[in-house]
Amino acid sequence: MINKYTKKSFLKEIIIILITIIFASPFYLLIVNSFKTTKEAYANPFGLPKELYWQSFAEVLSGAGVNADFAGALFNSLIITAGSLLMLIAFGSLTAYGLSRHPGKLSSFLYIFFVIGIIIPSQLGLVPMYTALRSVGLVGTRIGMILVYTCKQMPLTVFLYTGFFKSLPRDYEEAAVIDGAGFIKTFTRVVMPQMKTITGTALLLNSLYIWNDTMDQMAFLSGSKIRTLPVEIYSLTTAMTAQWNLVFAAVIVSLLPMVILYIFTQKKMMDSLAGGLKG
Amino acid sequence: MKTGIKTRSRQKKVGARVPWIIVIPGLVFALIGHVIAPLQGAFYAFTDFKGIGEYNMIGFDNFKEIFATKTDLYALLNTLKLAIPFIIFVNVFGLLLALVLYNKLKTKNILKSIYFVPAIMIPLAVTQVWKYILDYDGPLNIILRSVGLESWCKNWLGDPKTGLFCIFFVMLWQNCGYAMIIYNAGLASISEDLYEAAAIDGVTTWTKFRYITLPLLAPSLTVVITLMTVTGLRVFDQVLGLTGGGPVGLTQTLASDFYKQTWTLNRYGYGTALALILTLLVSIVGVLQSSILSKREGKMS
Repeated sequence: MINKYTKKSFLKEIIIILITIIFASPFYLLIVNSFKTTKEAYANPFGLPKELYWQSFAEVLSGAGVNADFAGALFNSLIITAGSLLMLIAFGSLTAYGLSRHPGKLSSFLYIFFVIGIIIPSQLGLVPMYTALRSVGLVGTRIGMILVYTCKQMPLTVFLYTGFFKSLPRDYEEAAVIDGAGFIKTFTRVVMPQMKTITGTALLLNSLYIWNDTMDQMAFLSGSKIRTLPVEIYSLTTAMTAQWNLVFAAVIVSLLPMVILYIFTQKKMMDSLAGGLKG
Repeated sequence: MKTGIKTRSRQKKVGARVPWIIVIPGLVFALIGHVIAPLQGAFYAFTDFKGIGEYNMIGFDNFKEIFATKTDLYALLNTLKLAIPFIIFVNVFGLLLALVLYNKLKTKNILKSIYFVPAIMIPLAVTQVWKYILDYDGPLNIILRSVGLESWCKNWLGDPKTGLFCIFFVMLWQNCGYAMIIYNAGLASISEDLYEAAAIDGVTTWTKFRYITLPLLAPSLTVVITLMTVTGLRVFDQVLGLTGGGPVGLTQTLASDFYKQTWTLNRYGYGTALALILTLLVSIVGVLQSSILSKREGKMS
Protein backbone atom coordinates (compact mmCIF):
# COMPACT_ATOMS: atom_id res chain seq x y z
CA MET A 1 0.00 0.00 0.00
CA ILE A 2 3.00 2.25 -0.08
CA ASN A 3 2.86 4.35 -3.18
CA LYS A 4 3.47 7.82 -4.47
CA TYR A 5 0.83 10.26 -5.55
CA THR A 6 0.47 9.57 -9.27
CA LYS A 7 -1.99 10.36 -12.04
CA LYS A 8 -3.80 7.20 -11.09
CA SER A 9 -4.17 8.36 -7.51
CA PHE A 10 -5.53 11.66 -8.79
CA LEU A 11 -8.17 9.81 -10.80
CA LYS A 12 -9.02 7.68 -7.78
CA GLU A 13 -9.32 10.79 -5.69
CA ILE A 14 -11.77 12.38 -8.12
CA ILE A 15 -13.95 9.26 -8.12
CA ILE A 16 -14.05 8.95 -4.34
CA ILE A 17 -14.82 12.65 -3.99
CA LEU A 18 -17.79 12.23 -6.35
CA ILE A 19 -19.05 9.28 -4.30
CA THR A 20 -18.63 11.30 -1.12
CA ILE A 21 -20.66 14.15 -2.57
CA ILE A 22 -23.54 11.75 -3.22
CA PHE A 23 -23.13 10.33 0.29
CA ALA A 24 -23.29 13.80 1.82
CA SER A 25 -26.05 15.18 -0.43
CA PRO A 26 -28.76 14.73 2.26
CA PHE A 27 -26.93 17.34 4.32
CA TYR A 28 -27.05 19.76 1.40
CA LEU A 29 -30.82 19.25 1.09
CA LEU A 30 -31.21 19.63 4.85
CA ILE A 31 -29.40 22.96 4.96
CA VAL A 32 -30.73 24.65 1.82
CA ASN A 33 -34.35 23.71 2.47
CA SER A 34 -34.30 24.90 6.06
CA PHE A 35 -33.74 28.43 4.70
CA LYS A 36 -36.70 28.34 2.28
CA THR A 37 -40.38 28.93 2.79
CA THR A 38 -42.58 25.82 2.78
CA LYS A 39 -43.78 26.69 -0.72
CA GLU A 40 -40.30 27.24 -2.11
CA ALA A 41 -39.03 24.00 -0.54
CA TYR A 42 -41.64 22.15 -2.59
CA ALA A 43 -41.27 24.13 -5.79
CA ASN A 44 -37.49 24.07 -5.84
CA PRO A 45 -35.98 21.42 -3.55
CA PHE A 46 -32.51 21.31 -5.12
CA GLY A 47 -31.56 24.95 -5.67
CA LEU A 48 -30.15 27.45 -3.24
CA PRO A 49 -32.78 29.56 -1.47
CA LYS A 50 -33.72 32.77 -3.36
CA GLU A 51 -33.14 34.66 -0.17
CA LEU A 52 -32.26 33.41 3.30
CA TYR A 53 -35.49 32.84 5.18
CA TRP A 54 -34.59 32.70 8.88
CA GLN A 55 -38.16 32.52 10.08
CA SER A 56 -38.19 28.72 10.55
CA PHE A 57 -35.23 28.89 12.92
CA ALA A 58 -36.82 31.74 14.85
CA GLU A 59 -40.05 29.77 15.16
CA VAL A 60 -38.30 26.61 16.28
CA LEU A 61 -36.15 28.37 18.86
CA SER A 62 -38.89 30.59 20.27
CA GLY A 63 -41.48 27.83 20.09
CA ALA A 64 -44.04 30.24 18.63
CA GLY A 65 -46.46 28.51 16.30
CA VAL A 66 -44.74 25.12 16.39
CA ASN A 67 -45.90 24.19 19.88
CA ALA A 68 -42.41 23.07 20.82
CA ASP A 69 -39.63 24.43 22.94
CA PHE A 70 -36.26 23.61 21.45
CA ALA A 71 -34.31 25.93 23.70
CA GLY A 72 -35.77 24.08 26.68
CA ALA A 73 -35.16 20.71 25.02
CA LEU A 74 -31.54 21.65 24.41
CA PHE A 75 -31.17 22.56 28.07
CA ASN A 76 -32.80 19.31 29.26
CA SER A 77 -30.67 17.17 26.95
CA LEU A 78 -27.59 18.96 28.22
CA ILE A 79 -28.46 18.53 31.93
CA ILE A 80 -29.42 14.88 31.52
CA THR A 81 -26.28 14.06 29.55
CA ALA A 82 -23.97 15.98 31.88
CA GLY A 83 -25.58 14.59 35.03
CA SER A 84 -25.36 11.02 33.77
CA LEU A 85 -21.73 11.50 32.73
CA LEU A 86 -20.85 12.83 36.17
CA MET A 87 -22.41 9.82 37.90
CA LEU A 88 -20.91 7.34 35.43
CA ILE A 89 -17.39 8.72 35.62
CA ALA A 90 -17.42 9.11 39.42
CA PHE A 91 -18.86 5.71 40.33
CA GLY A 92 -17.61 3.79 37.30
CA SER A 93 -14.00 4.76 37.88
CA LEU A 94 -14.24 3.92 41.59
CA THR A 95 -15.73 0.50 40.93
CA ALA A 96 -13.13 -0.25 38.28
CA TYR A 97 -10.32 0.95 40.56
CA GLY A 98 -11.55 -1.21 43.41
CA LEU A 99 -11.78 -4.27 41.15
CA SER A 100 -8.34 -3.74 39.66
CA ARG A 101 -6.68 -3.31 43.05
CA HIS A 102 -8.23 -6.45 44.55
CA PRO A 103 -7.27 -9.14 42.06
CA GLY A 104 -8.98 -12.42 42.79
CA LYS A 105 -11.86 -14.66 41.88
CA LEU A 106 -14.57 -12.28 42.99
CA SER A 107 -13.13 -9.43 40.94
CA SER A 108 -12.79 -11.59 37.82
CA PHE A 109 -16.38 -12.74 38.23
CA LEU A 110 -17.65 -9.17 38.61
CA TYR A 111 -15.59 -8.10 35.61
CA ILE A 112 -17.22 -10.77 33.44
CA PHE A 113 -20.62 -9.59 34.69
CA PHE A 114 -19.85 -6.06 33.50
CA VAL A 115 -18.72 -7.30 30.08
CA ILE A 116 -21.93 -9.30 29.60
CA GLY A 117 -23.95 -6.29 30.74
CA ILE A 118 -22.63 -4.26 27.80
CA ILE A 119 -23.97 -6.59 25.14
CA ILE A 120 -27.36 -7.63 26.48
CA PRO A 121 -30.06 -5.19 25.34
CA SER A 122 -31.73 -3.34 28.17
CA GLN A 123 -35.28 -3.07 26.78
CA LEU A 124 -36.25 -5.97 29.00
CA GLY A 125 -35.56 -3.92 32.14
CA LEU A 126 -37.28 -0.79 30.91
CA VAL A 127 -40.77 -1.51 32.26
CA PRO A 128 -39.58 -2.42 35.79
CA MET A 129 -37.39 0.68 35.87
CA TYR A 130 -40.34 2.74 34.71
CA THR A 131 -42.70 1.41 37.39
CA ALA A 132 -40.01 1.76 40.08
CA LEU A 133 -39.32 5.37 39.15
CA ARG A 134 -43.03 6.10 38.90
CA SER A 135 -43.61 4.84 42.43
CA VAL A 136 -41.12 7.41 43.75
CA GLY A 137 -42.39 10.15 41.44
CA LEU A 138 -39.31 10.34 39.25
CA VAL A 139 -40.85 9.57 35.85
CA GLY A 140 -40.75 12.67 33.68
CA THR A 141 -37.91 14.23 35.66
CA ARG A 142 -34.28 14.91 34.81
CA ILE A 143 -33.08 13.05 37.90
CA GLY A 144 -35.06 9.96 36.93
CA MET A 145 -33.57 10.01 33.44
CA ILE A 146 -30.06 10.44 34.88
CA LEU A 147 -30.60 7.42 37.14
CA VAL A 148 -31.77 5.31 34.19
CA TYR A 149 -28.68 6.12 32.14
CA THR A 150 -26.39 5.64 35.12
CA CYS A 151 -27.73 2.11 35.51
CA LYS A 152 -27.68 1.36 31.79
CA GLN A 153 -24.22 2.66 30.93
CA MET A 154 -22.38 1.59 34.09
CA PRO A 155 -21.08 -1.72 32.68
CA LEU A 156 -19.44 -0.05 29.68
CA THR A 157 -17.84 2.61 31.87
CA VAL A 158 -16.47 0.09 34.38
CA PHE A 159 -15.22 -2.07 31.51
CA LEU A 160 -13.34 0.81 29.90
CA TYR A 161 -11.68 1.90 33.15
CA THR A 162 -10.78 -1.56 34.43
CA GLY A 163 -8.46 -2.29 31.52
CA PHE A 164 -6.59 0.94 32.08
CA PHE A 165 -6.32 0.62 35.85
CA LYS A 166 -4.94 -2.89 35.50
CA SER A 167 -2.09 -1.68 33.33
CA LEU A 168 -1.37 1.40 35.46
CA PRO A 169 1.87 1.01 37.41
CA ARG A 170 1.34 1.41 41.13
CA ASP A 171 4.50 3.33 41.93
CA TYR A 172 2.82 6.72 42.18
CA GLU A 173 0.02 5.45 44.39
CA GLU A 174 2.54 3.83 46.71
CA ALA A 175 4.60 6.97 46.87
CA ALA A 176 1.50 8.97 47.73
CA VAL A 177 0.53 6.50 50.42
CA ILE A 178 4.02 6.58 51.88
CA ASP A 179 3.82 10.38 51.90
CA GLY A 180 0.77 9.98 54.10
CA ALA A 181 -1.96 10.75 51.58
CA GLY A 182 -5.30 9.12 52.35
CA PHE A 183 -7.29 7.07 49.87
CA ILE A 184 -9.44 9.93 48.57
CA LYS A 185 -6.47 12.20 48.01
CA THR A 186 -4.49 9.44 46.33
CA PHE A 187 -7.37 8.58 44.03
CA THR A 188 -8.35 12.10 42.99
CA ARG A 189 -4.89 13.70 42.86
CA VAL A 190 -2.64 10.85 41.78
CA VAL A 191 -4.63 8.11 40.07
CA MET A 192 -7.34 9.92 38.09
CA PRO A 193 -5.03 12.50 36.49
CA GLN A 194 -3.25 9.57 34.81
CA MET A 195 -6.55 8.39 33.34
CA LYS A 196 -7.21 11.31 31.02
CA THR A 197 -7.24 9.28 27.82
CA ILE A 198 -9.73 6.68 28.96
CA THR A 199 -11.85 9.30 30.74
CA GLY A 200 -12.09 11.06 27.37
CA THR A 201 -13.20 7.85 25.68
CA ALA A 202 -15.74 7.09 28.41
CA LEU A 203 -17.13 10.62 28.22
CA LEU A 204 -17.43 10.37 24.46
CA LEU A 205 -19.01 6.96 24.14
CA ASN A 206 -21.48 7.66 26.92
CA SER A 207 -22.43 11.13 25.74
CA LEU A 208 -23.00 9.91 22.19
CA TYR A 209 -25.24 7.16 23.51
CA ILE A 210 -27.23 9.32 25.93
CA TRP A 211 -27.53 12.41 23.73
CA ASN A 212 -28.71 10.39 20.73
CA ASP A 213 -30.88 7.82 22.50
CA THR A 214 -34.53 7.98 21.56
CA MET A 215 -36.39 5.06 23.06
CA ASP A 216 -35.76 5.66 26.75
CA GLN A 217 -36.37 9.38 26.52
CA MET A 218 -39.60 8.81 24.62
CA ALA A 219 -40.71 6.23 27.17
CA PHE A 220 -39.85 8.22 30.28
CA LEU A 221 -40.35 11.81 29.18
CA SER A 222 -42.97 12.09 26.45
CA GLY A 223 -46.09 13.74 27.78
CA SER A 224 -44.14 15.31 30.61
CA LYS A 225 -42.86 18.87 30.91
CA ILE A 226 -39.27 17.77 30.73
CA ARG A 227 -38.64 17.08 27.07
CA THR A 228 -35.34 16.42 25.36
CA LEU A 229 -34.21 16.91 21.77
CA PRO A 230 -35.26 13.47 20.43
CA VAL A 231 -38.66 13.77 22.16
CA GLU A 232 -39.19 17.27 20.81
CA ILE A 233 -38.11 16.30 17.30
CA TYR A 234 -40.57 13.45 17.30
CA SER A 235 -43.52 15.50 18.43
CA LEU A 236 -42.65 18.30 16.01
CA THR A 237 -42.36 15.97 13.03
CA THR A 238 -45.67 14.32 13.77
CA ALA A 239 -47.39 17.68 14.17
CA MET A 240 -45.72 19.52 11.27
CA THR A 241 -45.88 16.86 8.58
CA ALA A 242 -44.70 18.10 5.21
CA GLN A 243 -43.62 21.52 6.50
CA TRP A 244 -40.08 20.52 5.72
CA ASN A 245 -38.52 23.92 6.26
CA LEU A 246 -39.68 23.87 9.89
CA VAL A 247 -38.79 20.22 10.41
CA PHE A 248 -35.33 20.80 8.96
CA ALA A 249 -34.70 23.88 11.08
CA ALA A 250 -35.56 21.79 14.14
CA VAL A 251 -33.32 18.96 12.91
CA ILE A 252 -30.42 21.37 12.42
CA VAL A 253 -30.91 22.92 15.87
CA SER A 254 -30.87 19.50 17.50
CA LEU A 255 -27.88 18.21 15.54
CA LEU A 256 -25.74 21.31 15.88
CA PRO A 257 -24.32 20.85 19.42
CA MET A 258 -22.85 17.42 18.61
CA VAL A 259 -21.64 18.56 15.19
CA ILE A 260 -19.85 21.55 16.71
CA LEU A 261 -18.21 19.29 19.28
CA TYR A 262 -17.24 16.96 16.43
CA ILE A 263 -15.70 19.73 14.33
CA PHE A 264 -13.36 20.67 17.16
CA THR A 265 -12.50 17.17 18.35
CA GLN A 266 -12.96 15.04 15.24
CA LYS A 267 -9.59 13.35 15.19
CA LYS A 268 -9.71 12.67 18.90
CA MET A 269 -13.29 11.49 18.64
CA MET A 270 -12.56 9.02 15.86
CA ASP A 271 -9.38 7.76 17.51
CA SER A 272 -10.94 7.22 20.89
CA LEU A 273 -14.04 5.55 19.46
CA ALA A 274 -11.93 3.12 17.47
CA GLY A 275 -9.33 2.69 20.23
CA GLY A 276 -11.70 2.49 23.18
CA LEU A 277 -13.72 -0.25 21.59
CA LYS A 278 -10.71 -2.40 20.98
CA GLY A 279 -10.42 -2.53 24.77
CA MET B 1 11.73 -15.02 41.45
CA LYS B 2 12.62 -12.82 44.36
CA THR B 3 11.33 -9.69 42.64
CA GLY B 4 8.13 -11.54 41.85
CA ILE B 5 7.45 -12.14 45.51
CA LYS B 6 8.39 -8.59 46.32
CA THR B 7 5.92 -7.04 43.85
CA ARG B 8 3.24 -9.33 45.08
CA SER B 9 3.54 -8.27 48.66
CA ARG B 10 3.72 -4.65 47.54
CA GLN B 11 0.56 -5.14 45.53
CA LYS B 12 -1.11 -6.49 48.57
CA LYS B 13 -0.08 -3.47 50.57
CA VAL B 14 -1.63 -1.02 48.13
CA GLY B 15 -4.62 -3.30 47.75
CA ALA B 16 -5.23 -3.11 51.46
CA ARG B 17 -5.32 0.67 51.28
CA VAL B 18 -8.03 0.62 48.61
CA PRO B 19 -11.26 -0.10 50.44
CA TRP B 20 -13.61 -2.65 48.90
CA ILE B 21 -16.55 -0.42 49.65
CA ILE B 22 -15.79 1.88 46.69
CA VAL B 23 -16.88 -0.92 44.36
CA ILE B 24 -20.42 -0.86 45.69
CA PRO B 25 -22.20 2.19 44.18
CA GLY B 26 -21.21 1.34 40.58
CA LEU B 27 -22.00 -2.28 41.17
CA VAL B 28 -25.44 -1.47 42.58
CA PHE B 29 -26.34 0.71 39.56
CA ALA B 30 -25.20 -2.01 37.17
CA LEU B 31 -27.08 -4.69 39.12
CA ILE B 32 -30.30 -2.69 39.04
CA GLY B 33 -30.04 -1.96 35.32
CA HIS B 34 -28.72 -5.28 34.10
CA VAL B 35 -29.89 -7.95 36.55
CA ILE B 36 -32.76 -6.92 38.80
CA ALA B 37 -34.80 -4.92 36.28
CA PRO B 38 -34.40 -7.41 33.40
CA LEU B 39 -35.30 -10.32 35.69
CA GLN B 40 -38.42 -8.53 36.82
CA GLY B 41 -39.12 -7.74 33.16
CA ALA B 42 -38.78 -11.42 32.28
CA PHE B 43 -41.32 -12.12 35.00
CA TYR B 44 -43.77 -9.53 33.61
CA ALA B 45 -43.53 -11.27 30.21
CA PHE B 46 -45.62 -14.08 31.69
CA THR B 47 -48.31 -11.75 33.08
CA ASP B 48 -51.06 -9.52 31.75
CA PHE B 49 -49.56 -6.52 33.56
CA LYS B 50 -51.04 -3.23 32.28
CA GLY B 51 -48.78 -0.84 34.14
CA ILE B 52 -51.13 -0.26 37.04
CA GLY B 53 -53.26 -2.38 39.30
CA GLU B 54 -53.45 -6.10 39.75
CA TYR B 55 -52.10 -8.55 37.24
CA ASN B 56 -52.42 -12.28 36.66
CA MET B 57 -49.91 -14.93 35.74
CA ILE B 58 -50.95 -16.13 32.30
CA GLY B 59 -48.18 -18.58 31.44
CA PHE B 60 -47.12 -18.53 27.80
CA ASP B 61 -50.25 -16.74 26.57
CA ASN B 62 -48.31 -13.61 25.52
CA PHE B 63 -45.90 -15.68 23.45
CA LYS B 64 -48.72 -17.69 21.90
CA GLU B 65 -50.41 -14.46 20.91
CA ILE B 66 -47.20 -13.02 19.49
CA PHE B 67 -46.71 -16.01 17.22
CA ALA B 68 -50.36 -15.95 16.19
CA THR B 69 -50.50 -12.22 15.40
CA LYS B 70 -49.38 -11.19 11.93
CA THR B 71 -47.84 -7.83 12.86
CA ASP B 72 -45.89 -9.25 15.81
CA LEU B 73 -44.64 -12.13 13.73
CA TYR B 74 -43.63 -9.62 11.07
CA ALA B 75 -41.77 -7.65 13.74
CA LEU B 76 -39.66 -10.70 14.49
CA LEU B 77 -39.09 -11.53 10.81
CA ASN B 78 -38.38 -7.90 9.90
CA THR B 79 -35.78 -7.67 12.66
CA LEU B 80 -33.92 -10.60 11.11
CA LYS B 81 -34.49 -9.38 7.55
CA LEU B 82 -32.94 -6.05 8.48
CA ALA B 83 -30.20 -7.17 10.83
CA ILE B 84 -28.61 -9.95 8.76
CA PRO B 85 -28.01 -7.96 5.54
CA PHE B 86 -27.15 -4.93 7.64
CA ILE B 87 -24.35 -6.74 9.47
CA ILE B 88 -22.96 -8.05 6.18
CA PHE B 89 -23.16 -4.84 4.16
CA VAL B 90 -22.04 -2.47 6.90
CA ASN B 91 -18.89 -4.58 7.14
CA VAL B 92 -18.38 -4.66 3.38
CA PHE B 93 -18.88 -0.92 2.90
CA GLY B 94 -16.99 0.00 6.06
CA LEU B 95 -14.02 -2.09 4.96
CA LEU B 96 -14.16 -0.80 1.37
CA LEU B 97 -14.22 2.81 2.58
CA ALA B 98 -11.35 2.16 4.98
CA LEU B 99 -9.27 0.53 2.22
CA VAL B 100 -9.96 3.26 -0.33
CA LEU B 101 -9.22 6.03 2.16
CA TYR B 102 -6.05 4.29 3.26
CA ASN B 103 -4.56 5.19 -0.13
CA LYS B 104 -2.45 8.27 -0.41
CA LEU B 105 -5.15 10.82 -1.11
CA LYS B 106 -4.86 14.54 -0.53
CA THR B 107 -8.38 14.91 0.84
CA LYS B 108 -8.38 11.72 2.86
CA ASN B 109 -8.84 13.30 6.29
CA ILE B 110 -11.76 15.46 5.29
CA LEU B 111 -13.38 12.53 3.46
CA LYS B 112 -13.05 10.36 6.55
CA SER B 113 -14.66 13.08 8.64
CA ILE B 114 -17.60 13.33 6.25
CA TYR B 115 -18.28 9.59 6.28
CA PHE B 116 -18.22 9.56 10.05
CA VAL B 117 -20.55 12.53 10.60
CA PRO B 118 -23.86 10.59 10.36
CA ALA B 119 -22.70 8.24 13.12
CA ILE B 120 -22.63 11.01 15.73
CA MET B 121 -26.06 12.39 14.90
CA ILE B 122 -29.38 11.82 16.68
CA PRO B 123 -30.75 9.04 14.43
CA LEU B 124 -34.35 10.15 14.75
CA ALA B 125 -33.43 13.68 13.65
CA VAL B 126 -31.20 12.86 10.71
CA THR B 127 -33.71 10.28 9.50
CA GLN B 128 -36.11 13.16 8.76
CA VAL B 129 -33.97 14.15 5.79
CA TRP B 130 -34.42 10.68 4.32
CA LYS B 131 -38.11 10.80 5.01
CA TYR B 132 -38.18 13.94 2.89
CA ILE B 133 -36.03 12.47 0.11
CA LEU B 134 -38.21 9.35 -0.08
CA ASP B 135 -41.51 11.24 0.18
CA TYR B 136 -43.90 10.84 -2.76
CA ASP B 137 -43.37 14.50 -3.70
CA GLY B 138 -39.74 14.35 -2.60
CA PRO B 139 -36.41 14.66 -4.40
CA LEU B 140 -36.00 10.98 -5.35
CA ASN B 141 -39.25 10.87 -7.30
CA ILE B 142 -38.54 14.29 -8.80
CA ILE B 143 -35.21 13.00 -10.11
CA LEU B 144 -36.85 9.84 -11.47
CA ARG B 145 -39.47 11.89 -13.27
CA SER B 146 -36.94 14.25 -14.74
CA VAL B 147 -34.94 11.40 -16.28
CA GLY B 148 -38.04 9.82 -17.75
CA LEU B 149 -38.47 7.01 -15.26
CA GLU B 150 -41.90 8.16 -14.18
CA SER B 151 -43.11 4.57 -13.96
CA TRP B 152 -40.55 3.89 -11.21
CA CYS B 153 -41.99 6.59 -8.98
CA LYS B 154 -43.77 5.31 -5.96
CA ASN B 155 -44.57 5.97 -2.36
CA TRP B 156 -41.32 4.43 -1.13
CA LEU B 157 -42.16 4.50 2.57
CA GLY B 158 -45.82 3.58 2.11
CA ASP B 159 -45.17 0.13 0.67
CA PRO B 160 -43.98 -2.42 3.27
CA LYS B 161 -41.40 -3.97 0.92
CA THR B 162 -39.70 -0.78 -0.18
CA GLY B 163 -40.28 0.73 3.27
CA LEU B 164 -38.24 -2.00 4.88
CA PHE B 165 -35.50 -1.59 2.29
CA CYS B 166 -35.42 2.15 2.96
CA ILE B 167 -34.97 1.49 6.69
CA PHE B 168 -32.11 -0.87 5.85
CA PHE B 169 -30.52 1.69 3.53
CA VAL B 170 -30.66 4.51 6.09
CA MET B 171 -29.19 2.24 8.79
CA LEU B 172 -26.34 1.48 6.41
CA TRP B 173 -25.83 5.14 5.55
CA GLN B 174 -25.64 6.10 9.19
CA ASN B 175 -23.36 3.33 10.39
CA CYS B 176 -20.88 2.55 7.62
CA GLY B 177 -18.67 5.47 8.71
CA TYR B 178 -18.46 3.95 12.17
CA ALA B 179 -17.35 0.61 10.74
CA MET B 180 -14.86 2.48 8.54
CA ILE B 181 -13.23 4.18 11.54
CA ILE B 182 -12.66 0.88 13.33
CA TYR B 183 -11.26 -0.78 10.20
CA ASN B 184 -9.15 2.27 9.61
CA ALA B 185 -7.54 1.90 13.04
CA GLY B 186 -6.99 -1.79 12.29
CA LEU B 187 -5.28 -0.98 8.98
CA ALA B 188 -3.06 1.60 10.63
CA SER B 189 -1.75 -1.02 13.03
CA ILE B 190 -0.51 -3.28 10.20
CA SER B 191 3.21 -2.88 9.69
CA GLU B 192 4.32 -1.38 6.35
CA ASP B 193 7.21 -3.87 6.30
CA LEU B 194 4.85 -6.69 5.46
CA TYR B 195 3.64 -4.88 2.35
CA GLU B 196 7.18 -3.96 1.38
CA ALA B 197 8.24 -7.57 1.65
CA ALA B 198 5.22 -8.57 -0.42
CA ALA B 199 6.06 -5.92 -3.01
CA ILE B 200 9.57 -7.36 -3.34
CA ASP B 201 8.07 -10.79 -3.88
CA GLY B 202 5.91 -9.21 -6.57
CA VAL B 203 2.54 -10.48 -5.37
CA THR B 204 -0.77 -9.08 -6.64
CA THR B 205 -2.97 -6.64 -4.81
CA TRP B 206 -5.54 -9.36 -4.19
CA THR B 207 -2.95 -11.70 -2.67
CA LYS B 208 -1.72 -8.90 -0.44
CA PHE B 209 -5.27 -8.26 0.69
CA ARG B 210 -6.13 -11.91 1.18
CA TYR B 211 -2.98 -13.02 3.00
CA ILE B 212 -1.81 -9.89 4.84
CA THR B 213 -4.59 -7.36 5.28
CA LEU B 214 -7.55 -9.60 5.96
CA PRO B 215 -5.97 -11.91 8.58
CA LEU B 216 -4.50 -8.96 10.47
CA LEU B 217 -7.85 -7.20 10.46
CA ALA B 218 -9.50 -10.09 12.34
CA PRO B 219 -9.70 -8.17 15.66
CA SER B 220 -11.37 -5.19 13.96
CA LEU B 221 -13.77 -7.55 12.24
CA THR B 222 -14.77 -8.96 15.62
CA VAL B 223 -15.40 -5.49 17.04
CA VAL B 224 -17.43 -4.30 14.05
CA ILE B 225 -19.53 -7.48 13.88
CA THR B 226 -20.30 -7.44 17.60
CA LEU B 227 -21.16 -3.76 17.63
CA MET B 228 -23.27 -3.86 14.48
CA THR B 229 -25.14 -7.01 15.51
CA VAL B 230 -26.42 -5.21 18.58
CA THR B 231 -27.20 -2.09 16.53
CA GLY B 232 -28.95 -4.11 13.84
CA LEU B 233 -31.10 -6.26 16.10
CA ARG B 234 -32.13 -3.30 18.25
CA VAL B 235 -33.16 -1.07 15.35
CA PHE B 236 -35.81 1.37 16.49
CA ASP B 237 -35.03 5.00 15.60
CA GLN B 238 -34.99 4.53 11.83
CA VAL B 239 -38.30 2.65 11.95
CA LEU B 240 -39.91 5.32 14.08
CA GLY B 241 -38.53 8.11 11.91
CA LEU B 242 -39.24 6.65 8.47
CA THR B 243 -42.34 4.47 8.50
CA GLY B 244 -43.51 4.55 12.11
CA GLY B 245 -43.89 0.79 11.70
CA GLY B 246 -46.55 1.22 9.05
CA PRO B 247 -48.35 0.62 6.81
CA VAL B 248 -50.60 -1.44 9.09
CA GLY B 249 -47.67 -2.49 11.24
CA LEU B 250 -45.88 -4.36 8.46
CA THR B 251 -42.52 -2.65 8.94
CA GLN B 252 -42.36 -3.02 12.72
CA THR B 253 -39.27 -4.50 14.31
CA LEU B 254 -39.07 -6.18 17.70
CA ALA B 255 -37.84 -2.98 19.35
CA SER B 256 -40.44 -0.72 17.72
CA ASP B 257 -43.21 -3.22 18.38
CA PHE B 258 -42.06 -3.42 22.01
CA TYR B 259 -42.28 0.35 22.22
CA LYS B 260 -45.72 0.50 20.66
CA GLN B 261 -47.24 -2.31 22.72
CA THR B 262 -45.78 -1.03 25.97
CA TRP B 263 -46.00 2.73 25.79
CA THR B 264 -48.70 3.37 23.23
CA LEU B 265 -51.08 0.54 24.05
CA ASN B 266 -50.12 0.11 27.74
CA ARG B 267 -49.73 -3.63 27.31
CA TYR B 268 -46.70 -3.85 29.59
CA GLY B 269 -46.76 -7.63 29.95
CA TYR B 270 -47.13 -8.21 26.24
CA GLY B 271 -44.47 -5.62 25.44
CA THR B 272 -41.92 -7.19 27.78
CA ALA B 273 -42.64 -10.57 26.20
CA LEU B 274 -41.46 -9.02 22.91
CA ALA B 275 -38.45 -7.54 24.73
CA LEU B 276 -37.67 -10.98 26.13
CA ILE B 277 -37.65 -12.44 22.62
CA LEU B 278 -35.31 -9.65 21.52
CA THR B 279 -33.01 -10.26 24.48
CA LEU B 280 -32.86 -13.98 23.81
CA LEU B 281 -32.15 -13.31 20.14
CA VAL B 282 -29.25 -10.95 20.92
CA SER B 283 -27.86 -13.30 23.57
CA ILE B 284 -27.94 -16.35 21.30
CA VAL B 285 -26.41 -14.51 18.36
CA GLY B 286 -23.85 -12.92 20.67
CA VAL B 287 -22.72 -16.21 22.19
CA LEU B 288 -22.55 -17.92 18.77
CA GLN B 289 -20.61 -15.06 17.26
CA SER B 290 -18.11 -14.71 20.03
CA SER B 291 -17.32 -18.42 20.00
CA ILE B 292 -16.96 -18.51 16.21
CA LEU B 293 -15.04 -15.25 15.97
CA SER B 294 -12.62 -15.98 18.79
CA LYS B 295 -11.80 -19.35 17.22
CA ARG B 296 -11.32 -17.75 13.83
CA GLU B 297 -9.27 -14.92 15.24
CA GLY B 298 -7.04 -17.41 16.99
CA LYS B 299 -6.54 -19.36 13.77
CA MET B 300 -5.87 -16.36 11.58
CA SER B 301 -3.32 -14.69 13.80
